[in-house]
Amino acid sequence: MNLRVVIVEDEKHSRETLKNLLMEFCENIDIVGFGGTVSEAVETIRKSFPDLVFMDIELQTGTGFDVLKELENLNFEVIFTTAFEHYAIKAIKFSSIDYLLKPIDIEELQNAVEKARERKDIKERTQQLQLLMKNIGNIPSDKKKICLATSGGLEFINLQDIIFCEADGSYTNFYIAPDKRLTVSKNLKEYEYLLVDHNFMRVHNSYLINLFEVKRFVKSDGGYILMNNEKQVSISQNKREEFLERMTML
Amino acid sequence: MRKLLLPAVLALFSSIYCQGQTGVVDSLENIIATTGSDSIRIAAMLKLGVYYRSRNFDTARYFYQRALEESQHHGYARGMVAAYAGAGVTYGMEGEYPQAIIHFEKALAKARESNIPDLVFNQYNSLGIVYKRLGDYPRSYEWYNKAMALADSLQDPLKIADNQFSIAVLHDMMDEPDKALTLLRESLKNYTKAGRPVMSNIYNSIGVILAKANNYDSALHYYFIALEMDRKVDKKEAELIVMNNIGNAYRKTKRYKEAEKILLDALHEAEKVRLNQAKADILYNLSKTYVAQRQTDLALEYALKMLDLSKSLGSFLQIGEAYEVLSHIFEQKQDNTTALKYYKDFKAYQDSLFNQNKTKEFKTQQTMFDVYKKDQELAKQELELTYLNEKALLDKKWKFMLKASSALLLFTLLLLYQRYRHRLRHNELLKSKNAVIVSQKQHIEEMNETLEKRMLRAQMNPHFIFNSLSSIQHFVTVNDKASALKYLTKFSNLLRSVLETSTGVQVTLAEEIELIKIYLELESLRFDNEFKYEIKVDQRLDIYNLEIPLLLIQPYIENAILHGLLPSAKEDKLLNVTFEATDNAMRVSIEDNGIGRKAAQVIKEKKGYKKQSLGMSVTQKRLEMLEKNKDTTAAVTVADLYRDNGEPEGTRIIINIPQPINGES
Repeated sequence: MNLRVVIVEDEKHSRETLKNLLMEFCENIDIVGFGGTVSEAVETIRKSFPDLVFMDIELQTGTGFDVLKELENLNFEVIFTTAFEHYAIKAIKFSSIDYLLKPIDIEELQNAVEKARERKDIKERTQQLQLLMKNIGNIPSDKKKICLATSGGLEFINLQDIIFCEADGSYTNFYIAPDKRLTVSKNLKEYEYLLVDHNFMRVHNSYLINLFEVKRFVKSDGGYILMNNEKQVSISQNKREEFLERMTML
Repeated sequence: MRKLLLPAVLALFSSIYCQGQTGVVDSLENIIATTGSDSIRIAAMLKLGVYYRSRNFDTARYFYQRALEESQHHGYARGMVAAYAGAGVTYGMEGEYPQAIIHFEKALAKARESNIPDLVFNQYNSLGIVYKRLGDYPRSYEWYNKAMALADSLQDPLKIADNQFSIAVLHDMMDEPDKALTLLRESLKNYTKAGRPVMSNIYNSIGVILAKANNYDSALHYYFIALEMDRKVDKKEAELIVMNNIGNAYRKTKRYKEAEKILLDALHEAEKVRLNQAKADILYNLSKTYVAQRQTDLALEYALKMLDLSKSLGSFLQIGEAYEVLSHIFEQKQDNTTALKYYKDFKAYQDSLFNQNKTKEFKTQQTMFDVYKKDQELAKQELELTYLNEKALLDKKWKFMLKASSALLLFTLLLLYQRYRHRLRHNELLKSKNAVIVSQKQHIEEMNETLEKRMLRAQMNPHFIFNSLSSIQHFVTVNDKASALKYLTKFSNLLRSVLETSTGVQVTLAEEIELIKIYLELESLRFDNEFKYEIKVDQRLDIYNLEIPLLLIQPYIENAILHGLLPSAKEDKLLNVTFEATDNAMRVSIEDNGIGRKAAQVIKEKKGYKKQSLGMSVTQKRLEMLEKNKDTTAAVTVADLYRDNGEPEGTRIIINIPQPINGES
């Protein structure tokens, strides 16, 4: 069964580019509609029941999020496109939703399409998009959730439940209260970028910790941090001062 | 041999016989109760002490204690010394020598502390007397010598005389008659010098010492002076003693009749005033005188009288002497048995006397031991005092440390102040240095400006660059080879211009216009010729020499296209860019016939833009910098254009770029 695709792009050239790339480099695709403005996009999606929507973040009359907001059923995959690093990228990443930067890389496009095609759990998609819509708005850290894509599926985790993250090659291990461990196929730097604004701190090359989950700072043995789950986390010598400073600011 | 001088020494301890009886005591107590003067009250108490010490030691001490407390309360030093000394005398009279010493030493300490020399002198003397009584002659001598030294330094002949007399007595007791005699004579001289009626017992004492040395004639000379003096003041006891001494001297020089006469006179006098002690001595001498004249009956008569009297007096010494005389008398009588009997009695009394002396000596030893113990105690106290002193010294050390550290601090402050002064002096030098620094700072600021411009340009470009690249991707995907190549070339030119001008941020107007042209072509291509554009340049502008900041105008053009023209539904979308020359500036106007600012703002808000677009804010900053450099206003004015019917008809932006007149740049 072919994948039903809708392209939401306000620039004619961009629309055509994406269409041509999909036709040429991706198999089993049906492009079922286009949208240049917010209202056009909403209408097209409503009547064409896409499996996948390519969504330009910036539209002439609004944003891609405006389109999603107006839709009742978020039962499709979304891949965002943008020409330049956008303020909303963080929110998108929080929801673990794919996005493509223009000019579009063919390989990235193929991967994103295949990923979308393989996903069967419709409920998961909806959850992801709902999480995105929530995270676009300004909500406090302790109410915020992050979507972690693991080999077993998507996990929606409260930020405050994350005790610390540990680098594991190009993967990252999440230690989640009370005693859960998740491995995600993104490196620690990616999560540092996402979580640093939410009272997380990279205390060591291999560790990103939730400062609220620190139980004790032990000065002996070169210094280490004891987390609330009784696990010890190393701290770099040059991070000690900043760490103590941030702990007092909490 | 009896020490005849002892009574004189004892005088110090014996009460000054107050003629006043209870009346005196009453009046003194009355004074104590009524007087408002502290010193008089204290003096009265001391007087009562003197009165009572020959009657009741405890009462005497009670008054001395009161005098002491009262004196202490008022800080009256003389009273304190007198009270201590009085108590010392009382103890001495009681035979409590260790206590006497303690009190005299207290009196001495107070007198020294208050610096009252005559009172110091008195305590020296008192201590000399006590030690003499204890038989510790060397120490007694020591105290007397101290007194002597003080009296000498005070140039007080009376004190010197008193002291010389005391030391003379001491020498006599130490069996050094020559020294005693010399001192007595000097004492005599000093009494005369002091204009004081000389005490008769000095003459008497001299006589006794001379008599001891068998110099009876000289002795008699002094005895008679003493006798004359005693008769004048009616001192019966002293008179009788002197008379007895005279009798003794006559007898020794075998002038028995004269001896008999004066001794009988003395006996008569003694019987009259009942001075039994003296009477016994007189009877002894009389008896001996008759023995010498071999008038045994008379001798016997007086000897027996003496024995009876001595027995009644309980005076062992005199009883012994009586037996001795009796033994002699019976020897003369050839009654050897009786003589032997009396001789045995004499020996027995001598032994008992000896024992008595031994006991006395033992007692003295005991007292000496007590004194020694007291001394030890005093030494211990002194040690404690030394310890306290050491402690005080340690405190002083601490204080010194404190002072030293304070001094150090002060010194440091001084140094700091010096440095401060030094700095003030070098202020001018600093000022000139400051000027250099200011100019350097300006230079750095200029450099910073350049850097900032570069940075701003770098911030401005990305959107455009990626959009351009996307456009090229588009041409490739649609197989529009010609457009792709054209776009690629133009984009390269633009990029090159931007990169090549990285050293100088200013570009000529011609260059800027060329860049704008390229940009407009690129955007036109990207948006599929959705809008048309026109660039007009005033002929008067020297486009090859006028300089403006790189890509200053481009953001306004981009703004007009993206937010003014593209959202518009019009068929003929138009953009006009005009460069005009004014008096001393250049005017650039960017005019579009798009949706107008209001409508554009609505869209922007809808998209959730909170701020002005990055490009616009960057340009604003660059224009501000332009103003700084040229001292003229770089103004950007925005005009909303309307149709005749009031509908929005696009936007016009006018940028005034300050410029020097042609050729002057």
